[in-house]
Amino acid sequence: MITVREISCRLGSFHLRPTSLDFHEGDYWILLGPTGSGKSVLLSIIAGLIQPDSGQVLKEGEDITRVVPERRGFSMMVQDFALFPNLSVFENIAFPLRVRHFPKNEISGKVTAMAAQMGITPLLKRSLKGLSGGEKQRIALARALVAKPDLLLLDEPLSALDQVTKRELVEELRIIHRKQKIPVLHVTHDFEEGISLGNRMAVIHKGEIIQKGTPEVLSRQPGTPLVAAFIGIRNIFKGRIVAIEGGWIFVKEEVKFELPKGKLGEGTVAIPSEDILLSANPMVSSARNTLSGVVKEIRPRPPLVDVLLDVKSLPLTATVTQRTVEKMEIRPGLRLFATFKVASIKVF
Amino acid sequence: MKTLFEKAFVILGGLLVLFLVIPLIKMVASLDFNVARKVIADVEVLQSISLTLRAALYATVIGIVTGVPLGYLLAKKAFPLKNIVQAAVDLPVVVPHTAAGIALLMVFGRHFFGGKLFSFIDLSFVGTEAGIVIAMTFVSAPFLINAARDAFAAVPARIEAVARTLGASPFQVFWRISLPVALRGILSGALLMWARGISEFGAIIILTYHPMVTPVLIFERFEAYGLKFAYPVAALLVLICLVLFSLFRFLASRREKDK
Repeated sequence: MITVREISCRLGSFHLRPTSLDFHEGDYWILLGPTGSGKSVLLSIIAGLIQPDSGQVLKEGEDITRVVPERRGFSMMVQDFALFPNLSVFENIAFPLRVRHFPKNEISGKVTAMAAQMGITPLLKRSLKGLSGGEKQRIALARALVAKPDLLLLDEPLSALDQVTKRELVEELRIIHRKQKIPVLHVTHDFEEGISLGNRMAVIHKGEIIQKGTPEVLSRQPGTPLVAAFIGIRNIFKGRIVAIEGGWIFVKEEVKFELPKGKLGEGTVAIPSEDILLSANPMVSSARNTLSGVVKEIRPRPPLVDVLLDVKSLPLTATVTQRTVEKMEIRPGLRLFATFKVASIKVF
Repeated sequence: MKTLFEKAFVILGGLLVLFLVIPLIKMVASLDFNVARKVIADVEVLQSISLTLRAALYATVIGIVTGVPLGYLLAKKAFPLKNIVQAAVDLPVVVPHTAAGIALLMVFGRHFFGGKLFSFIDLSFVGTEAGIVIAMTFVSAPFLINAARDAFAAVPARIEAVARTLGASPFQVFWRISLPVALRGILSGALLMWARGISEFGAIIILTYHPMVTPVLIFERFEAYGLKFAYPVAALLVLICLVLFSLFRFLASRREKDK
């Protein structure tokens, strides 16, 4: 087991606040955060490339905070692949074995097996010139895995790829992780990429982990509006929460809707756009909130569509299928009714 | 269709190119076959050319052994007084070369501490090949150091960091990645250093008039016998340099293609 305990670090004006994470066998951690949030700094500290000001990195109980990167037994893979331009594909993959002085025949066997697993055997003899992004990424992944690391550190590993290649590699990573069970720390700013791979998730913002848990828990119960925004919840509004006739009501200018019972006063609410139903007429249903608005914009987000409504100047987004847009003939200027359950609203 | 701006630049740049190559072409083209044969048969000329090429090669080897590590440090590491070290490295380029020769003489002359120190191993720098080598090293090392620094700076730190996490020690990263990736730039710097060494005159003439390197020989023949006797030697040296440099460039480009 690898443990990161209360790691903190100051780099210029950036401050990584005390951070802790545990890596068990089979853990696939997603570290989610915007650019400049400190996720790569944390990754570099775990890799041993940056020394923290305080805190510890432990491997099987042993303190390795001051151990040089090459003796940690971790592997890192980065967004721009960082393949070695002076080496062939074979030698790139063989690199971790060569520097550890493995016997020649063993190197050849391991590299060939790894290449076969990644489906890049025909590339082995080639130089790096003219390789596609996906091929480079597979080589980088093969190189990171060939020496069987105790922890795989992935720094935005899929950001430089097109959608098709990305999907393929997500599948690849999933299979590899299921087979090898190597703990992974995968840094990304893409929630969908994260949720399709991770079984643990931490959201980092301005050098601080603001929530961690399983992806399911994070999506169901985002702890802060920021986490909600980060995991892709679209309708996040600040306003006033008041109690009227035993019900809790959210008020923002002229717009009002009912909330689950909880806090009062200033507050932020989030309504998942997937939980909003659109209809041409007011709906008779168990859902207690119905707002009327005018369609402002239709934004395709394949395979779904985001419909932006103007509800008395409150911008409300509902996510529907393309079929719904066609069937209801949704177009800008059309008046629609948006219905959502009180229970689907998250209050912060 | 080129714009006016591009045309103007082509004319201005073209004028400079002509200014740079015409004198050299004229000199080599004026070489009479019979005169050339005599020059090639002249032992003094041949010895001088061989001395010049050899001393410049020694200077370049010294430059590689010490300048590559210095270039690496300048490119990759932060250390105290780095800016001053960088300025010091560039100093020989801006100092007049005769002044550089005087400065070297005041350290490596017989009566100065450097000269005395090396006299223990019977090495003298005045009137010797060793003097030529140190003069060449002094004036030409900046070319190699700066080329090595730029070449190492162009090796992405990210690649080196990833190599560390893949199990390589700092020396392994240098030896297996940084150096090979920077090699082309370093070699071109070494070639430049060698060429600059071959052409050195000012600093050498102060330390070592005899044995004569070719630039000194050309100067002496011009002073003693006039243009007619000086230019064939000069033309021969230019030709040899051209052939050698073209050969190195060709080999370097082939190496690159092989990759």
